[in-house]
Amino acid sequence: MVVELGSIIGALVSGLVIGSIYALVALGLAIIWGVMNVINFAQADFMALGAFIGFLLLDSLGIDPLISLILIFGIVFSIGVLTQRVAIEPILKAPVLSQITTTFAILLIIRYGLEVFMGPYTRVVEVPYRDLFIRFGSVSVSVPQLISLAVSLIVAFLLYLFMSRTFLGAALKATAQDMLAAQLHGINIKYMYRLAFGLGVGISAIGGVLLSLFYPIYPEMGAFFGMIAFISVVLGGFGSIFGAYLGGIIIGLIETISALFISPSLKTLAAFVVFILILIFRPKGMFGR
Amino acid sequence: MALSRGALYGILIVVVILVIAAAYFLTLPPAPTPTTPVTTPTATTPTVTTPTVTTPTATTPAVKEVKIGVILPLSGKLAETGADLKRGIEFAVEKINAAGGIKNLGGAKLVVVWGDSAGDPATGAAEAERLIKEEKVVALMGAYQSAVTKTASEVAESYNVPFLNPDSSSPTLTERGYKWFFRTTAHDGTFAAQHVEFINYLNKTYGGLKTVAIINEDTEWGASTAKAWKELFSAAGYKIVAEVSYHAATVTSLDSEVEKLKAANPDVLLIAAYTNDGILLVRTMKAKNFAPKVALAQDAGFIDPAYVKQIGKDGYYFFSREVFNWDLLEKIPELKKVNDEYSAKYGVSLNGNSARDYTGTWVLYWAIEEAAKVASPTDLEAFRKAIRDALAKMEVSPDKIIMPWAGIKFDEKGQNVLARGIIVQMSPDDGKYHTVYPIEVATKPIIFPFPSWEKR
Repeated sequence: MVVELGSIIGALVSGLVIGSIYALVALGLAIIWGVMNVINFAQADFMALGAFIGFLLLDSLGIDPLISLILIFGIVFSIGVLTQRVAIEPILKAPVLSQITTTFAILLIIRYGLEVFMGPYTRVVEVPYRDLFIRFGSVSVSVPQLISLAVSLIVAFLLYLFMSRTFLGAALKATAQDMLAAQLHGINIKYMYRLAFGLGVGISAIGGVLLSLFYPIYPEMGAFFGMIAFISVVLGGFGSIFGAYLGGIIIGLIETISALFISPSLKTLAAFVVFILILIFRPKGMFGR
Repeated sequence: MALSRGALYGILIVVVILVIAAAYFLTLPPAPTPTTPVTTPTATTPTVTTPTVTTPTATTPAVKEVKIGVILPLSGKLAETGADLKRGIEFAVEKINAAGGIKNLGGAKLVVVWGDSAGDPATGAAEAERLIKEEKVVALMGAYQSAVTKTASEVAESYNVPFLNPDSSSPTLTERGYKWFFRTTAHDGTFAAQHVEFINYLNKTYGGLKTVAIINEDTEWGASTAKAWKELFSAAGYKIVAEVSYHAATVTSLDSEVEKLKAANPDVLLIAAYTNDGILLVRTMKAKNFAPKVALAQDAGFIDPAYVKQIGKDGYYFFSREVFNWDLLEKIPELKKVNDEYSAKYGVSLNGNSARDYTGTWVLYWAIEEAAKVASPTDLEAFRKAIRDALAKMEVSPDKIIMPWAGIKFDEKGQNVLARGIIVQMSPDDGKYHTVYPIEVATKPIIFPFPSWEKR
C-alpha cells in the first residue's frame, strides 16, 4: 500500500489534536490520583459539564468559549471543590470501593443531570471561526482544531509552571509525595485535596470546551473519553502527571497512525493492544516510579 | 405459632371453594349491557366490554362491535413514539366509525383494545396472548420495534390470528414463512434496493457514477445495511472502492475514516450513521474537503430533527432515504385532506410513524369488511381466517392511501410489494428536506452533483 506523505502528516496532526484532548482529561485524573489516591470516575463527565457550560454561555450571552475558558475553568473548579468538600472528604478513609462508588455516583449525577436539564440532544457549538481551514496541499486542518491543540499545550505548560514555581504547587507535590511529612511541615492537607480535585476537574472541563469547538456535544459524551483518560494515565505511569499528558497524546497518535496503515475500524483496538504491550514491558507505565 | 393439622385442612378447603367460585363467576358471560347510542368519539376506549357474543336464536347475529388488538410501546423509553403511533390509529378508527363503521356487519363499530409492550419483546408477546385469549380480538396490529413485532407475531401465528405490521423495518420479519403475518411498510432490504434504483436513475440522467464507498456505524443496523449495499451495488455493476466502519458509541474522531474515504475518491458515498456521528461525519467531510458526487444516507441520524437543527448549511445537498416527508402533502391529495383534519384535532402534523399506522388501520378495516362477507365475528376462528384470506388477496390502488407507495399488495411472505421509501435532499433554499425521488411524488428537482465545499 502506498501512503502519501500528505496522508501521514494529516494523520499525525489529527492524532495530536484528539490526543491533546485525551491528554487534558488524563492530566486532571492524574493530579487527583497523585495527590489524593482517589480514582475519579466522573472525570470525563466534568469534561462534558465544561463543554455544556461553554455552550450555554455562547448560546445565551454570545461569549466565545475561548474567551469564557477561564470563567468555565473557575466554575468547574468551584464545583470540584464543593464536590470534594461535600462528597469525597467524608469518605477519604473509607474503603476504596466506597470511594469508587461515590465518584461513580457523581458521574451519574452529572451525566443524567445534564440529560434532564439539557435534553438528550446533540448540539453543535457555533463559533465564527468554525469554518476556517488551513490547507497545505492535500493536508487540511481546521482552525478550531489547531487552536485546541495550542491551548491544550499552553494549559499543560502553565500547570508545569504552577507545580514547579509556586508555593501552592510545591505544597501539592509535597502532599502527593508524602502526606504525613507535608502535614508536619504545616501544609493543610484538606485544602490541598480540595485544590487537587478542583484543579483536576477544571482542567478536564477545559478539555471539554476545546473539544466542543469541533466535536458535537451531548450529555453522554464523557463515556468513552473517560476510558481513554484511564488508559492514558496508566500508560504514562500512575503518579506521573505529565506522563499522563503524554499518554493521551500517544493514544491519539496510535489511533490515527493505525487507522492510516491498518484500518480505521481497528484504530481503537490498536490503541488498546499497544497499551497492553507497553504495560507488559513496563508494568508501571512509561514514566511510572 | 403452629396451626393444628385440622385448621390447615380447613383453610385449604375454604381457599379451594373460593377459587372455584371465583373461576365460576369469571367465566360466566357478563350480563348484556343496555345499548346506549354511541355519539361521542370516545367509543374507542378499551374499557368497552360489550361482548360480541349474541343469542343463538337470531339468524342474522347483530354484531355491535369488532375488536382489534394493537400492541405499541405506550410506556418506557419509546413512550413518545408510542403516543404518536396511537394517535394515528385512533384517528383512523374514528374516521372509519364516523363513516358508518363496518358496513358489511350492519355498521358495527371498530374498537381498539390497546396492549402496552413497554418496548420489551417479552411483554409484547404477553400482551399479544392477553389480547387474543382474554379480549378475543379478531386481529392484531403493531408493534413498531422489530424485536417486539417478532415475538408478538409469533404468538399470533401460533393462535392463527392475523397480525398486521404497519411500521417495523427488519427484513427478517417477512422471511419466517408465516401465514398470518402481513407488513404494509417497506423494510430495510427494500430501502437498500431503492438506493440502487436511485443511483441508477442519477446515472442515467447525469452519468459518471461508477464507484461507491460505504461508511457505517458498526452495530447490527449499520452493518446489515452496509452488507446489503455491498451486495446490491456490486450486483448492479458498481465498484466498491472503500468500506469504513466505526463504533458510534465510542467515536471521538472521524478524521482517519474520512481520509480513507477521500483517498478512495468514490463517485457515491453511502452513509449509515446515527445523530452525533452523523454530525461529526459531515463536519469532518467539510474539514477534509471531501465532496463525492453523491452523498446518500440511510435515514436514522440524518433525518433526526436534532441533526437537521444542528447541522445547518453543512447538511445541504445530502440525500437521505425516508418513509415520509412533510412536503408530500402537496403531492398526495388524500394526505392533504387527512392531515388537515388530523392537525386540527391533535395540533401536530402526521409524520412517517402516525401516517403508517393510520394506513395500517385502514388496511385492516378493509380486510374486515371483506371478511364480513363470508364469515361472522360470532365464529371467531372462521372470521380470523377470513380476515387473513382477505389480506392475502387485497389489492389497493395508490390513490386510496396517504403513503407515497405504489399501492398495497402482499406477496406470499406477507410483505407489501408496492411499498417503498422516498429519497429526500436537503435544499439550500430553506434548509429543509424535500422529496426528490420517486419522480411522481417529487416536489423539487434533484441537485447534482454535490458541490465542492469551497463553492458554497
